[in-house]
Amino acid sequence: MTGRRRPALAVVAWLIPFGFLAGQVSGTLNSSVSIIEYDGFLAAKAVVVAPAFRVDAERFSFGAQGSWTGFETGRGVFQANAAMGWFSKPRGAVRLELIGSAGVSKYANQPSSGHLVGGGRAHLTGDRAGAWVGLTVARPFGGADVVPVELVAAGWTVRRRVTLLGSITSTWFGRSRYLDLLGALRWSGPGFELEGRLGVRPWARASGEVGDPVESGYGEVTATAPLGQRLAFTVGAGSYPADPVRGVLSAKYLTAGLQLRTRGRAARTITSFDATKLAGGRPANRGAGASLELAGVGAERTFRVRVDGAQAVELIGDFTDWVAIPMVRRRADLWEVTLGVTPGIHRVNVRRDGQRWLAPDGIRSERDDFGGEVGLVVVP
Amino acid sequence: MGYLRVGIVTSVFVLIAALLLMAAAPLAAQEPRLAKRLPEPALGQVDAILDAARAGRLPTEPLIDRALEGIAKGAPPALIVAAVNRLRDELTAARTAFGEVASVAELVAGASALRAGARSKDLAELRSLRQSQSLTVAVAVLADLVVAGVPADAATGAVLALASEAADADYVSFRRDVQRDIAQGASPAAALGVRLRTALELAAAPAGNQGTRGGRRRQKP
Repeated sequence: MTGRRRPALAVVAWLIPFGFLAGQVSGTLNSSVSIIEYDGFLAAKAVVVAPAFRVDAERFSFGAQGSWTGFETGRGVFQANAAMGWFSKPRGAVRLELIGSAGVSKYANQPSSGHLVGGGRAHLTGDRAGAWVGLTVARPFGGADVVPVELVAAGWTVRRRVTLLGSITSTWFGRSRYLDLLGALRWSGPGFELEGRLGVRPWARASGEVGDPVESGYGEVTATAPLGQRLAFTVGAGSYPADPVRGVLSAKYLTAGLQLRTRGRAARTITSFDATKLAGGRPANRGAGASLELAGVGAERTFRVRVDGAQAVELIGDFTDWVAIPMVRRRADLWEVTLGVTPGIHRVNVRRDGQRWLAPDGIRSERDDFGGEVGLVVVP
Repeated sequence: MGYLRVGIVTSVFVLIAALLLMAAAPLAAQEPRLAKRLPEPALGQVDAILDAARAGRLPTEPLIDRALEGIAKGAPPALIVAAVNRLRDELTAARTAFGEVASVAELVAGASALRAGARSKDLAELRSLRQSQSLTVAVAVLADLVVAGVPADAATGAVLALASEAADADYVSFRRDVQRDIAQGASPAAALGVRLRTALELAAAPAGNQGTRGGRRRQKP
């Protein structure tokens, strides 16, 4: 008994300082019912339980996820993955990242298999867009005796509520070669979140056995709707391709379930799409579709609002005694007004074309007590 | 005769009372910016809150602003009264944390920070570290960081760590850098840690190693 507890206590003791120092530990517990059809198998009903947690410290992230899938046949698959990422200090717009992951899986009474993956990425990041190139080397266990190599180039952009990602991945797996093109979209709505992926494997050279990469197209959609502060309903469907590097068979699936999460955002597995997922997790634009900037010094400040396709833009705030002030168009998407503002924190709203008052993007906003939101601008 | 005297005395009292009421009426609020825009009984209820604020030596301008905001947004009068009342409570809590000498801007920023999730004792500690400087921007940045997803403890620690060295412009730059890192994919805690360390290193560097442009410190290449 004591011997069994010791490893668990050691893990907890190792994690406590992480959580304590970082103050950013998130966890989720997903439980779902699914219908899954793996490549080479018939479709089967299954119950899936998948806990995950993630710790973020300074420039370092660590995440782990486990899952148990019980099929209607009575057999099951156990999988566990852990991944970490380490970022360098930013040098202008460039950051380097070291990544590593390990995973094991066991199906029924088959021998276990696993993998180790390590590599690096160079990120070029801007305010609303970025790109990276990365190289990873893997070492599978319990399968082919090869050293797979992946070369990835990707770009992403965040626009209002939407995050878009595109990537191209070339993989060398022993004698197999294949190429993947992937587009991903994430939309964070006022009550729920939608993620979609569409990919194509336009070229693959393989032996044709089960689990081998083949030319194919695939796509997935997942929607998450909160049922409370820590509970959400998730539903998803689609297909994904084989990933022989990580021992994943291609499959089609339909799933629905509940997600229980700790405070804050849900723990996400650290994957190759993390940078954009996190970027999209807090969209730069939220409500008005109009971003606000403050310019100038002294008693008078210039408020600049960038908004596409507006015919009229007005600004209102405590510094206008809550009287609407029309803004002057400077360029097609740029509107300005210069007003006297005292140092401090001020409440402000904008509206376009006489529509509802909304909190501008680019600054903090909060509930305004009147059923809407208000922006809070800090004037130093 | 006795009845006449009683009648005269009564009339004089009534007259004095009427005069007193007329003189006191302007003091009992009837804020002119609200008078014609907020219907009864909400107007009277807001006036009562303003009176209570004056009695408690709280600033009334933020309360009037909140009512004007509700009117401008077409909110139901009951919501406006509730919003003004809530703000009065928040201003009271902010003043408890900052002390009697707090400015109106500090109280407003403090109220906003408390609403965002900052703790009263952290605001009080910030006051003790920046006794001679305005707290407005520091507190606003604290609230911004909490709303951006930084854990309240970590955000408070960072703002307190910068309290003795940072100017308001440094706080604004710090907040902007953290938010940019978050938008680019860093976790809030990681972004805070990296930017805080950089800010503290800059603060500790000799003056000759620092340049300024637009009020923001830069690192040598």
